Amino acid sequence: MAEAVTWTPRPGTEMDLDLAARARSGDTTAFESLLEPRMSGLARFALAVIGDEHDARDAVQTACVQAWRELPALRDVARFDAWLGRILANSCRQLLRSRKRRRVREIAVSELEPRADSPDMSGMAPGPADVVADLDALGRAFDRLDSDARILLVHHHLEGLSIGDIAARTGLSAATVKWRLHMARAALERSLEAEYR
Amino acid sequence: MTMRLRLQDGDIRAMLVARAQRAAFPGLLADVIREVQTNPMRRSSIVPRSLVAPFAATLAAGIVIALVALVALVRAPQVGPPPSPTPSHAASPAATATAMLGVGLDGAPMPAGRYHTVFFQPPFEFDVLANRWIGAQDIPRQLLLRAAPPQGQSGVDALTIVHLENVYVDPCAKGIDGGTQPWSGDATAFFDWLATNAPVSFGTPQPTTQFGLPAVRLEVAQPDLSSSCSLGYMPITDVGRPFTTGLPGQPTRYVAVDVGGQTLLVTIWATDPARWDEVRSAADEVLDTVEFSN
Repeated sequence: MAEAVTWTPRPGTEMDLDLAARARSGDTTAFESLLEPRMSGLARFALAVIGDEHDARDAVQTACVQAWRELPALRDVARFDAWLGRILANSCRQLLRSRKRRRVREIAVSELEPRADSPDMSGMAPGPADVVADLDALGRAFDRLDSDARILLVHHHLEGLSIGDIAARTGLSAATVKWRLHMARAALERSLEAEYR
Repeated sequence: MTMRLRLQDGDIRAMLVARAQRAAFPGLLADVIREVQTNPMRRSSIVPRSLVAPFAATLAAGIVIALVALVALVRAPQVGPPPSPTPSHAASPAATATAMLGVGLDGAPMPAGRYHTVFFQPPFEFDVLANRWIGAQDIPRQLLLRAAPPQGQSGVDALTIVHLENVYVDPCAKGIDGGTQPWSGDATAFFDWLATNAPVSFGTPQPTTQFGLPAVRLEVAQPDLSSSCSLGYMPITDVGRPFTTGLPGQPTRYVAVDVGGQTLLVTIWATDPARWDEVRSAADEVLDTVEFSN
């Protein structure tokens, strides 16, 4: 199992607070130091959500520049990571939204209600060759989900955030996160089924 | 392909990890810093949200008093003489109104004068001062005036009047994909609807007057809904530049007013909080001169 992916390497450390405070006052060097240990995680998050390297890079760059511009409005620098995460998630949404216009049709969670004739996949054991193929199919299925579903799944399955952590990150209630996560997963399953029709 | 995996948490994780592992963006941080060095920070003049409500009434009262005094001063000398051709003053309400032309957000600012809407329903007339506003849009359900931006400003500060016809069923969770329903309430009911459908508290609307009519006003520093609302914003009505929750802290004033049996929503916002007082005052100068045709 790969280690949990997170772009919050040292949450709330004294050094980060100091850097964030200096960055907020307009110190670009401090801002650079603040971002440096986070860039890899930011990129991984964006790429997992978006799937396209060029777009993911754009999303991260846009989010970082927006964070710089809005940093004076951040009242509590200890919340920099959660705040930056929301900006990045929003940047990914905007990217997917613009890409939606020129490429694939996304599948909204609401369109993916369970069907009575859904095949039962539970008894199928994969062979080694199927694993790669199925992960590819799963990736394509994931790419048909709407942005909110993708972001939730990435928070939970890639970043390893708990329901409570996601709730804190997004500002939603834990019950809402739990429900939306359930719906996102159901949507992914339905989208995966579509890969085999 | 003859077989597939039963979808398990590990599969989802493996797929996401595989995608994320391709993330190698050399030079990205340097690119960011280069761009940062040419992008000024927004000025931090945001009033903490907890302080907005207590000060809002006092601030509004002060502004109303100031505006009343200002209007009295400006209008008094204009009684009798014909409208001044001087571009720095609005034409008097008695002047012949010019048809407003929708020129888009980046059009030229309007010359001073009195204008009438062409398409907006119900039609009305209004005054503008020289070089203050761009007549961005006049369509049956929306009038949009963009505050002429200072040099170098790219954000849109605006005054808009929308004829409420439809509202989004689920504005936050589904946004524009949620579908709309016809609006059947009045001005007060609109804010009740907003309170029910918005994911955060916008506070309690206050009674006010608009166009000389009873109205309801809500003035807010926009909350941060970027991660909890679909598409990163919350459209409320289905027309015009949506009444978004723009950037966190962005000051916005909503006034709902019933005119001739229709609910109009008047919205003013400034992308830069530092310009809020200026934009709001300029918008009120326009709104105070609005006269509906019937």
